[in-house]
Amino acid sequence: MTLLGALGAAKRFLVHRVTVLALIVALVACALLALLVPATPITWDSESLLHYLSLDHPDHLLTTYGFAALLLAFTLSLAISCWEQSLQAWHRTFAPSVAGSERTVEGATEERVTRILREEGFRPVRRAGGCVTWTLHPWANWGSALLHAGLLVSLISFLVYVLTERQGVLRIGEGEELAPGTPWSHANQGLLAEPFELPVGVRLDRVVPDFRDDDSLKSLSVELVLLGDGEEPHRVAPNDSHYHAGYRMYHPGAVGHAFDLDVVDAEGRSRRVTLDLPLPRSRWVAGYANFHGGPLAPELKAKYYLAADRSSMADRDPLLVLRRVEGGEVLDELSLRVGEAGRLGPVSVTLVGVRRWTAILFDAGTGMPSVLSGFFVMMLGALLLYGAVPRAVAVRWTGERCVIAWRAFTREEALFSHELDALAARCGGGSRP
Amino acid sequence: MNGVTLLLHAVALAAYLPAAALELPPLPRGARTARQTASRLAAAGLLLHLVAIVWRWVDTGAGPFVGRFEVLSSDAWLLLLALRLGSGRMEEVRRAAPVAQPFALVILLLAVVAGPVPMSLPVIMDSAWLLAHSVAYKLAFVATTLAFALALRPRRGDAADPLERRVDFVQYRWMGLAFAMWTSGMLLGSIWGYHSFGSFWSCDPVEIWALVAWGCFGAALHFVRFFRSSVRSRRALSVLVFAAALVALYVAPMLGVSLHTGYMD
Repeated sequence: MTLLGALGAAKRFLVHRVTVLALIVALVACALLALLVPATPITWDSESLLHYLSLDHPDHLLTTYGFAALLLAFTLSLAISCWEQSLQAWHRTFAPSVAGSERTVEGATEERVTRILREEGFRPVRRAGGCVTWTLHPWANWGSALLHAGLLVSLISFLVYVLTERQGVLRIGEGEELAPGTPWSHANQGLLAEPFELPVGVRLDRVVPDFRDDDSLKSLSVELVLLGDGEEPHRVAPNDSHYHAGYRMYHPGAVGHAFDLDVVDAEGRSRRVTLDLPLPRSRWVAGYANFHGGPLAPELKAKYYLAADRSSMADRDPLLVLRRVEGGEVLDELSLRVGEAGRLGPVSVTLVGVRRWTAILFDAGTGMPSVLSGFFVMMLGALLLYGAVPRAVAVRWTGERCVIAWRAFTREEALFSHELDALAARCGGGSRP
Repeated sequence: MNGVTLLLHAVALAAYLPAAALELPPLPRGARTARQTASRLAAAGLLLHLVAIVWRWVDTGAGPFVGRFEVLSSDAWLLLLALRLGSGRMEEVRRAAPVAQPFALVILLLAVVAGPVPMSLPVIMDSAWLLAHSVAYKLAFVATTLAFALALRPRRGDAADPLERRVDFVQYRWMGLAFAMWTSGMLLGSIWGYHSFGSFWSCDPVEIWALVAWGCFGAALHFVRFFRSSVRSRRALSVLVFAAALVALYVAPMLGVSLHTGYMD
């Protein structure tokens, strides 16, 4: 078998109906399996792509050679199918073959046939050898091609985006100033991406929460300053991201209070510790967080109320409660308001201040517009494919008689065949049925 | 306020039930009065139901896309509206009604049983993209249910019967339109996620179930297109797609804490 023959056989195999269906079912099964055995997040480091594909544990189903091969086969099948459908759509739109049913009409005039076809929504696309070809809903021919092309674009863009992803989350408190390059609290970096560091110095001026009567958060905005030339102030809020010099800043909605504590251990050494706790849902409930391995205790549970007397959501007098825990058992508990001090096991603790904290996400990834554009093309294709049935009519004249050939480009063409009879009747002088 | 919402729902349900009881059994040709009565009752029910949904929206500030009661109630309303508007013009919608209408009433009943709870719109959900995302999924839900109901319809002839073939064709197209709407829902959700918090896909269980349902749509549509499918296989595929869609829309959001938790809380 020649190389071309082998490629042709591979192509036929990839777009064979059984192969296509098997690939779709296999991908759905993989998604279901990934649900049942949730994937463990992978931390990208300096290893190669091949290293990650060799993580063939059940909790890394989507990073196995098998899945990569499946995705490759699916992508190839999609690309070939897309090409073939585009060619077919081109022919059906601009040079449709109307070798289907036909009727001969006596007594028709060219003006009448033209008028009736236009009234029915047909438009002429080709005039050759005394035959005029008309089409109705021609763009619906492109539905399937667009649907598959959109999926292909989304799939490839998604892979590019994941491999070149550059995101970092910064946790920062009011009044805090962070220098460029400060390590992220959490980062997503694609395997092929350049390292992404905090590109600019940041100072958080204010976190402004606003609450409804039922204590739920009504709005939240953050005022921060990007340090450097001009110290530009920026306002970022959930649903209101901000683009600046090659990266976009988001507010993911995370907010709470940072408690600054002076901790003095049994040997008399003093150090400053900051505990970031998430915002309570109401004045009556506390915001909770657990801390492990800190200087206060190996296992520490912390909670706070916005107002010690539970009177409002204003953070004028917050109450911090610290619990030293071991094996689920509470060993010591300490409640502190700002300025108060106490002992928590072997250490003495003073609450010196409370500030609001928030998180800002910096995104310098590329490829997202392509993913979303692919989705849009897919949606457009599906609407065209299932929203209309394209038809074509060829009209030719043999002497005084008009021959009308008709086709509907669907497998259920027979369901529309009455249209040809109706068209022929009207062209012959009958009325619209 | 919750009491008023619930009362309006109960009255709407009280209008829907006799309307369905009058309409669903095959009526003799001369039963014009019964048809008119059913139609008026259903229209009154839809109006009251709409007032209840808008009332609730204004009261809580959270649209009918956050909260179990709100989601179920608005989905039922949209499905009943589609049946009401379509049944006057399309034979296919009338054929879907014996399955789709009881299903819509069951959903509404579930909403009433769940009842409205005090709620407010989380800050991150205060976005027009989220509203569009939700509307697309609601339309997908309606189209999926109609396609499912049509697949399960009582047949009046064998598969070769021209009328049944036409209804089968329409059923396939509705499933295709449901697929288009589902794709739109995923697109708009991705835009919302990316616009709001810089992530278009979070591998959230609800998102994965939505992807699974989307894959089931794709598999079913390809199967029907590639093979001469029997009535039984069409029914089986419709059940599969409908079940996957229901899991994605109603069950997955209740399975643990996720980005979509507020949706069915």
